[in-house]
Amino acid sequence: MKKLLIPFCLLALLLCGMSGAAMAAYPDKPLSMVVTYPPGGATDFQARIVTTMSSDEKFFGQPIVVINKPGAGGRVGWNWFAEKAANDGYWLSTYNAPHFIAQSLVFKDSKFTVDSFEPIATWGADPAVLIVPKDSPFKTLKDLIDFAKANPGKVTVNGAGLYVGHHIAMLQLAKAAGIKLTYVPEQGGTPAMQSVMGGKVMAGFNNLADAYRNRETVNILAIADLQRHPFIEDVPTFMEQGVEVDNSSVNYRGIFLPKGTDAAVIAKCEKAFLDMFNDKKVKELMVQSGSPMHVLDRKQTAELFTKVKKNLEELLKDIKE
Amino acid sequence: MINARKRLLETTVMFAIPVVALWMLDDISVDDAKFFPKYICYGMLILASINALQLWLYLNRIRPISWPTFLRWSLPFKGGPVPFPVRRVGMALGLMTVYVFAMETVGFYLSGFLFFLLSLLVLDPAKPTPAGAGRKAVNALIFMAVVYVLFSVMLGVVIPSGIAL
Amino acid sequence: MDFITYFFACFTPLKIALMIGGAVGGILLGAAPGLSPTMAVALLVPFTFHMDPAEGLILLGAVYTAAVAGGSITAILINIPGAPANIATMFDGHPMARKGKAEKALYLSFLSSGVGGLFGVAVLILFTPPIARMAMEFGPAELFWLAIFGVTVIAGLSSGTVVKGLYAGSFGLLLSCIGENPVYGVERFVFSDMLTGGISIIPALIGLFAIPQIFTLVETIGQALEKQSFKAQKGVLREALGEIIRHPRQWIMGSVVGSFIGAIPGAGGQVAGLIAYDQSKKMSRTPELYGTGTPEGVISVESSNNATVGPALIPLLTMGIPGSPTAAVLLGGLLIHGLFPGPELFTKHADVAYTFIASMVVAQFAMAIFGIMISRYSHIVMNIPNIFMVAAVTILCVYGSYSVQNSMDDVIIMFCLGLCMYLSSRNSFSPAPVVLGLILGPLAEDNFSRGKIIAQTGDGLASYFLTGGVNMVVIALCAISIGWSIYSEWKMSRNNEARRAQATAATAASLSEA
Repeated sequence: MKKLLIPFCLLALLLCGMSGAAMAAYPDKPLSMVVTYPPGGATDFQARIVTTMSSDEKFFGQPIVVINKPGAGGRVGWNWFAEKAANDGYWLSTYNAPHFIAQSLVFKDSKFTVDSFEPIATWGADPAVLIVPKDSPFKTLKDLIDFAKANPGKVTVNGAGLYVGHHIAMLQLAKAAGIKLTYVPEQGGTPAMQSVMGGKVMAGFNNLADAYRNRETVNILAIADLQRHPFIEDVPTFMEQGVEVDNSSVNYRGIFLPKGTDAAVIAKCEKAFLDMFNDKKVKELMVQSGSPMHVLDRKQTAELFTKVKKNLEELLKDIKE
Repeated sequence: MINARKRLLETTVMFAIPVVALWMLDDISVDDAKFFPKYICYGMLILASINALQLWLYLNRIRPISWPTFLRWSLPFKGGPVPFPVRRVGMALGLMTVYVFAMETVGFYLSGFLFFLLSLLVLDPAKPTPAGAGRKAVNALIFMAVVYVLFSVMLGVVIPSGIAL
Repeated sequence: MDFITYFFACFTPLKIALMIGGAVGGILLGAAPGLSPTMAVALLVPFTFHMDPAEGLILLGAVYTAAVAGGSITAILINIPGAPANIATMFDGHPMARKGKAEKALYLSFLSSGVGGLFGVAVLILFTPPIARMAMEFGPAELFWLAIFGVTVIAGLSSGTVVKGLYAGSFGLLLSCIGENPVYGVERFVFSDMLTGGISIIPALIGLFAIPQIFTLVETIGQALEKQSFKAQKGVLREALGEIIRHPRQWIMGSVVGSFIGAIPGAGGQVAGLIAYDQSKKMSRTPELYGTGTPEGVISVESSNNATVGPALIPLLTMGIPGSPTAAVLLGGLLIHGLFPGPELFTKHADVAYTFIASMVVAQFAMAIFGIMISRYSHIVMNIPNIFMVAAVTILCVYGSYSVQNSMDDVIIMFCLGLCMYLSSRNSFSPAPVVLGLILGPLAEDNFSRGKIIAQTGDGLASYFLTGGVNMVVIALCAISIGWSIYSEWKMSRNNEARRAQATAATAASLSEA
């Protein structure tokens, strides 16, 4: 036995060395990134913008190919990614918080939880804003709250779907102001915007990016974040107006990897993505398309997930009743 | 002539589908979500009953089977109608099933090539010859090559790679 | 009037090359069974990143309109629709091909597509403000009634086997309920993990139409049709032009229907062809010829398909709300180039916007011309032995189903649905009502649910769904459509009775003479 020990140790060292060398060669073929929404949507084109530069040697030296796997608000793609994606470092996925966390809590047969993934970085934060049609009788947030107090349940507020940021924002607003609102889930951000524009609902929560682009036809009453946003300087936050709505409903977008991916790979990805997100050209393209950026690294992203999960568990308890 | 066995099968299936659907709906808690499918199932049951009634009424009269328009040939085939080629259809079915389920593991191009080649060999009514088989293989290769150039090279689309190409 | 100034800006060599390339590429991509216009445009968006915004849009616009027209090639030649829009083209187009008139059918299709497309772009240029306003009027209640109108078409499609047609339509509606309901968040009928995302339209379309057709080809391998060879013919183009001139009602009605449905976001522009077919049959003097290969059938459907393209861009360019799934992909393309839809588009980026619209006009001509040129070789396809068709079409269909959502599950769903359809087709069930049900189901149900939620905060269901100008118009259309279907069924059965009575009288007479 002893005679074999030394060669065995040498072999083991050699193998470690080789894998170290292999890691240095990562990536040696294109990477695949799963986007869990249809092509043309906000997450899709933002993902394409932030990864356009990845072939540059400074970042990955290999292109990142976007693979759309839409369905069930993102759940189809995340189910697949948690179960079937290889954790060799060549498969990445975009994430949308609070969407995936809310879904993992609400849908018991989801194949993923917050812990099924290794967060890498975040590129964007799209806060929810409260919008009303241009000719609405509600000129400020207070008007809406007063009307809702006088007519409980009569105010219709829409959003891009169930258990997405907009829904969370509505729940927080209702709880904080002590009013009863009726939520109308739509088929996505653009149909929701359309309904508000056409006056089919009295108000709605939508993405800052879309509301900003349509500011001619809708009025923005408040922003659900901790501070005002440079795109819309004169819109106050909920908190400024005395309503306790924080930034739990902000739609964060970023990248994660399957659980069990090698630590060296994770580190390399984190560095490359942070560099890409902070690149001048990427920032320019994002601003050009009206998409707000907010870069977080791995540790911050993981903390974000924990915080959002805690908030959601509390808020969603209220829905169940 | 009405094929009684086939009609019975048809009636059973027409009733079975809404019944099974209604049973699957039972687990759902939110009543509103059950509304739409429930009434569709009721509608299907009514239609299935009407269909069964029509069959019963005409059971004793000679009534030709009407083929749906989209499968109707405007002109007859040479030599008149032929009996249904069960063996050939069965083999095609088998080949397709294997292809669909093996595609992910074997890879799109390789499985496509094999499927093309095998179906040309198996489904051809003429006797197989080595020269003929060789020619078929070439055809299969050409087709897959064209698809490859068009999709992977020019458009850069993603396909399941599996073991081989 | 700015439009005229920019019209000539689109005639630079590069832009013309892109228009022509886009038109040809679009026709070929659309012609592959399984590749829909949405996929074709989505595949090309990454190419446009490195192009100038105007050039990128020109390419995408040309591909969009050409792919919609190209889908008719497979529909006519091999009886498999390239997209839901081409289902109705099959009804009359393929019988024409079987009779040896494939070339004429294709010419008719491309000419009507060109006419319809031009009509649609004209609507885009001339009527944008009123149509944009009208599109905004369509909320949950109005869309619900529009869906019901579509459902009444299902009944009309299946004259002769109304019960089975309605059953197939209901089955389609039931299939559309599979998966997660977007309004209530519950999962229904998901008895296998593959179904979590529901049944996607393109794989279902491929499965329901292509698989039975493939098996029919398998059954007839080695058998030769009586009219054996399909040869190229002369003078067919003139014939086709003549048909179009002789049937103005069909393409006018088709274009109007297409424009209307295309402009309304979320109204399922994919069914414009079927609705136009149904209405055209009702309006025609010879409804019994529909289904056997009458030019009217092809003209009305193809003009309406291409007429949806222009108006689908109206809500997209004015408000950033796509009127069709393909327009949604175009929206992404616009945003990536930093072009925000809205009034800004027509002021700050007027050159891009107007050049794009101008190029759409030219693209119609490019598409029609190249379509006609390609159709001259259609007889080659008709002469390919069945055995090759079976293998090639299966591979393309599998690929097409996979590529929509990069999902192997879709391929399996496609295959299972296809097998079920093949078995039922032997019992006179046809796939068109199923697809219609699948497309219209979510439209009807989700809008009804949303409308219900909103109505409950207001004056109640009845007043929400039964009042309002647009509502009344659409409800009236539904009533007329149902009424006309019943009337024509009754008329047809009366004609059949009369004919049967005559036949028995004739046989009796001849027997008594003998």
